Amino acid sequence: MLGQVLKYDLKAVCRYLIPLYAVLLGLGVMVRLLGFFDNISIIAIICGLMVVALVLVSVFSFVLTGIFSVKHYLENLFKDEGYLTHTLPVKKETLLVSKVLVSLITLILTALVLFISLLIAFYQEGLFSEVIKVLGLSIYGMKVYEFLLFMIFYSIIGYLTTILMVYAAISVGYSKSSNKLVSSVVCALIFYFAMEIIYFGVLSVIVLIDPAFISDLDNEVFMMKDLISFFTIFMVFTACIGGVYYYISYRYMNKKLNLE
Amino acid sequence: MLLECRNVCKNYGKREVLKDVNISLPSGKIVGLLGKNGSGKTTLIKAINGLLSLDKGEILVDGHKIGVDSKKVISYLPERTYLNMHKTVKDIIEYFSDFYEDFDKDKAYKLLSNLKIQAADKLSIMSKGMKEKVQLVLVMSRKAKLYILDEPMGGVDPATRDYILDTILSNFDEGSTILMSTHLISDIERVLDEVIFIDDGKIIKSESADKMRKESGKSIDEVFREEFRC
Repeated sequence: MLGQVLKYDLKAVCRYLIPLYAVLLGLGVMVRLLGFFDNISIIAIICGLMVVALVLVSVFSFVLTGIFSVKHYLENLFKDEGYLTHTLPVKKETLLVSKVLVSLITLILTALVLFISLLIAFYQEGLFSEVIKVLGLSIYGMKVYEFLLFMIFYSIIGYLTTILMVYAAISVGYSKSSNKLVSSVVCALIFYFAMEIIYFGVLSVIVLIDPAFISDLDNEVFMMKDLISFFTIFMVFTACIGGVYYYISYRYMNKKLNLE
Repeated sequence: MLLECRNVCKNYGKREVLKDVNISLPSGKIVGLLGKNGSGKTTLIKAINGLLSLDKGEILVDGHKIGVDSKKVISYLPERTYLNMHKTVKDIIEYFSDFYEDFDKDKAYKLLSNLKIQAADKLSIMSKGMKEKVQLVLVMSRKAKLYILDEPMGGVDPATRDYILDTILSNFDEGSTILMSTHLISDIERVLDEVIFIDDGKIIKSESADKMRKESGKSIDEVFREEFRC
């Protein structure tokens, strides 16, 4: 059943994302085309504006992708559509796993479309060989591509945990009898501050165990592997917190569902 | 028993909405769940469909607790439109077909063509009444053991009421049970086998429709008016 649920969830979210992708790709094409005539001052100005627009849409594309995932979660499970979704012969965990997978898939899709759009706009001959050369470089004892892969993985974990935090807040807020949306917002704030306190606690423990750790990151003996181990600790905690949010969402959907 | 509610209690905040509700329904019956506005009909129906968690008690459908197995045998028509308005009729039929093994696609298309609704029609451009009919067709195109219809004739004109009642009666299996909540008792009273009166979250009467008529010498509509007189 997961395949079926995933198919319909993806279709629903992609309905919002397709216009965003069209704008991203359209801006990429416009920047490229206008670039051929940038010796004409008015076109150079328009081209500059297009570049600014592309950068802005690029920055907000991930935020919008997250918003669309959350919007679908809310509407599909807790608004009128929920009357159909929750009466399907499907396990609650299947519904939830599908929503999390859709967040991940759409994040990857957005990154892919963004990459293509930027490539269309700014590609120059020899770009790939230059990029490959840079990726193979070693900085502070670590290859650039290894560091990049690590940071991409860390960003995905962070993104999914944030989405799960909002899912959990909605699940708790919408189990209340009244002021459901306000309750969800309050829950999200509580979860956010709790998460910050946990991070601060983790940082304090690290400093207590190894007082020189933080200062080492900022001096000449700094090595990339120290930074990676620093981020790995936070990544593990972020993933664990994501797991807790998943459990809260599941628990409230399974035991405290309240479609009044 | 096809449906059993045992000591079911539900509160909305401090307000008790269902108070120790006990119901047992066998297969092959048409049952009217009758009560005033706010008496707990919709809450009870939602609880049976797993849309509300219970504070106390247990509900069994065909021997299963509320979950995947119970949902396989219930075909539910809520009192609101739950269809995604961006979809076409074809999309929503495919959706039902993908999730419900007992959904009869051909029957759905046939019933929709009687209403002059095409597969490519978008739900967003349909009137409220038309959407309700599409929803009814979807629900009645399943070969379910238990049909739960919440106010299927609420807010529609008498001609549409007749269409709805005809669609319900001509599309359910003899062995299935229909649990239907409504205020429009006179419209459905002739088809009811069993009657349940609910008031202030409590079941105050649950008996055969014939017995009720015979013992009171009145129609169910009249008994209802007498029982719930303000």
